[in-house]
Amino acid sequence: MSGPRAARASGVPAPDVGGGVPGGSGATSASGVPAPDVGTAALDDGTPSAVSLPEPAGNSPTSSHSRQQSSWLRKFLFDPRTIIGLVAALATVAFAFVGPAFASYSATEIVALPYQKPSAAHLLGTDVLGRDVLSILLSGGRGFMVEGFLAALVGVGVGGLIGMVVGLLSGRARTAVLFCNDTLMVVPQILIVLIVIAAFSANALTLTLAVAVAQVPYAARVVQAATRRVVQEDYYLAGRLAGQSRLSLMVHDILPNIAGPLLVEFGVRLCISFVVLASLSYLGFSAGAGDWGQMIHENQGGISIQPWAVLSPIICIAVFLVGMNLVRDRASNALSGK
Amino acid sequence: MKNAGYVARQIARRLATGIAMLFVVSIIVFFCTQALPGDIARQVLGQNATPEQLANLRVQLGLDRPILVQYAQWLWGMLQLDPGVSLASRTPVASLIASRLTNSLTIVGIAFVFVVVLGYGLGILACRKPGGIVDTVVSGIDHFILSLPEFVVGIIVITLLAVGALRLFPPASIIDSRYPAWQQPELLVLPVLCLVLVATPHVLESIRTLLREELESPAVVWARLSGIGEGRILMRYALPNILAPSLQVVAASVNFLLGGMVAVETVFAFPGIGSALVSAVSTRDIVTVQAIAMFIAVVMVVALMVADIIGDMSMARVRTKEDGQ
Repeated sequence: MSGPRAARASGVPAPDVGGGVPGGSGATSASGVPAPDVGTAALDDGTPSAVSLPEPAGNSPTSSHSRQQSSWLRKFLFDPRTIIGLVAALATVAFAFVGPAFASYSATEIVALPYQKPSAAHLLGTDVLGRDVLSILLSGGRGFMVEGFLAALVGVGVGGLIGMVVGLLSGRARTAVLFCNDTLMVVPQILIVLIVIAAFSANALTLTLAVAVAQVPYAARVVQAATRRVVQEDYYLAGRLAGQSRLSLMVHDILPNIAGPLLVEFGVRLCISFVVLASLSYLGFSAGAGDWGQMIHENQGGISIQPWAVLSPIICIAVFLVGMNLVRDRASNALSGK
Repeated sequence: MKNAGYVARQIARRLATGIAMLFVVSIIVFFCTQALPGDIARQVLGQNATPEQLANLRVQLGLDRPILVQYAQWLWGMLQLDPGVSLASRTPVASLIASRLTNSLTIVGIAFVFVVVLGYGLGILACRKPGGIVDTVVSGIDHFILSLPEFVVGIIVITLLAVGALRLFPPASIIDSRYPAWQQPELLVLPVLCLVLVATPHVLESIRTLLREELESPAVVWARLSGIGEGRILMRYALPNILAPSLQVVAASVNFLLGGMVAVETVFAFPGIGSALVSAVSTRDIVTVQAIAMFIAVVMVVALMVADIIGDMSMARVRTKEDGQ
């Protein structure tokens, strides 16, 4: 039974490995075969321990806290890979959000013949219907960025809450919930999202919620393990013995102590949400007309005549996601004290 | 003999776990698609259907019965490999997806072999010299691919190998359905290549992490100090020790292959169950969606069970040796 967890745990210290690298469809952690007890123990070893905030007994908790924070921040910010990642991600975000103001044509207006090569009037040429590629490109990134961010927020929020509650449970109830949770992790993520979309049809709300739902089991797994670690600490037991309610301890003791793993998990889920949403849009399920994934799908047939209609959104997606992943990777490395 | 009993018990436990998992998946798949949303009959017949037509179709689909009865009938149908009649084309789903199933299993199967060989091979090579050229290049490519959606990898592959300067393979894999897929190998190369590209990095990175930890363990340091060669350390100590956890990684790679299959088949217009799933979702043909989802879940759960059972057997062998001494 130690198999799956060992793989998962050894992946965690290098968060780029087992911690669920965006693969669109899932994460290495998907090897979930229910072995809650062994599993948790192994996960506990593996989860970055330096992430948790200072020991409660520290002489002046606030100052040591801020010192520790500033040291990881410095480590994070002075890494050239962080800088490259930040520049790439922020540039794409700016392009997507400020860009529409600079578009010379409407994204839906047919302005020339289909598949025209780049020219002075149309810097990236025209697409399958004869619309200006640059104008569609400028307006096609915002939707999936907003949806991805919200999906990760909702998914990690709900998953985190479930994880904390499950972490406080014990015995059969915990085993049963974890079994269902792990079962969800066994199924490729894209499948869960597609099932939800088949049931509710695709619009901005259902897409965001479908992707959020698919993130819940992963976030719950990680938070559950982090919560177990806090629950076994003396200060938690002391709080319980002093008569504090579980709810109050959850807010005051557990939440601050799992903030690190929660943040790292949010980064992972954010990147995966973007990947899944871009894939969905390519597969034909997007909220609005003309986002990047859809552009690629529509113009793929003309790739040998007018490659820019396909390559320009590909480059945007690639720069954005590689940048995001560099930042996420460096941030979780710095947080885990590497 | 005590040991044989232990192995048998473990296998029985794994089988029970797998069946329980499939049961949970079947509940999720069925109730997400059939019980939650509005009126399936109206979706099929459209807005202009008369109330009589709607009522007839509901009876025909069994929608007038209690939901638990519907679930039981659906599950019974699935167990008999008869998922029902497609809502979109009104033909049995089983006959619709049968040939697509072999097509998909062909590319996923071929890709799986490559993923395992490349995952272990490159993982071991990268660990022989940490920080060396192989290690750096492999890890760079891994991180790049792992950041991207599968369809982006597919388009990059098409751009490099199918259009433009190098036109080695066709950019679309439209299989002639009169012949089996493996008789048209030139159409399989690019989809398989894409699947290998998207799934290998996951396996490779996990193997590398497992192996690196193993090679830094006290036992290996001790073996090295005793003058045992690196090759022997790798084959005799490190690899056997990571066998069970690495099998889990290999099983998880099936997850990435099946997930990646959906996008990759769409990129190449390959007639498999991944592209069938996408079109079933867009026509909201939930009977087909349910069938394909359950099939993918079965493959995944079987992969995990096999990995677990082999892992158990290797553990049991270690146990016997210890007991014997």
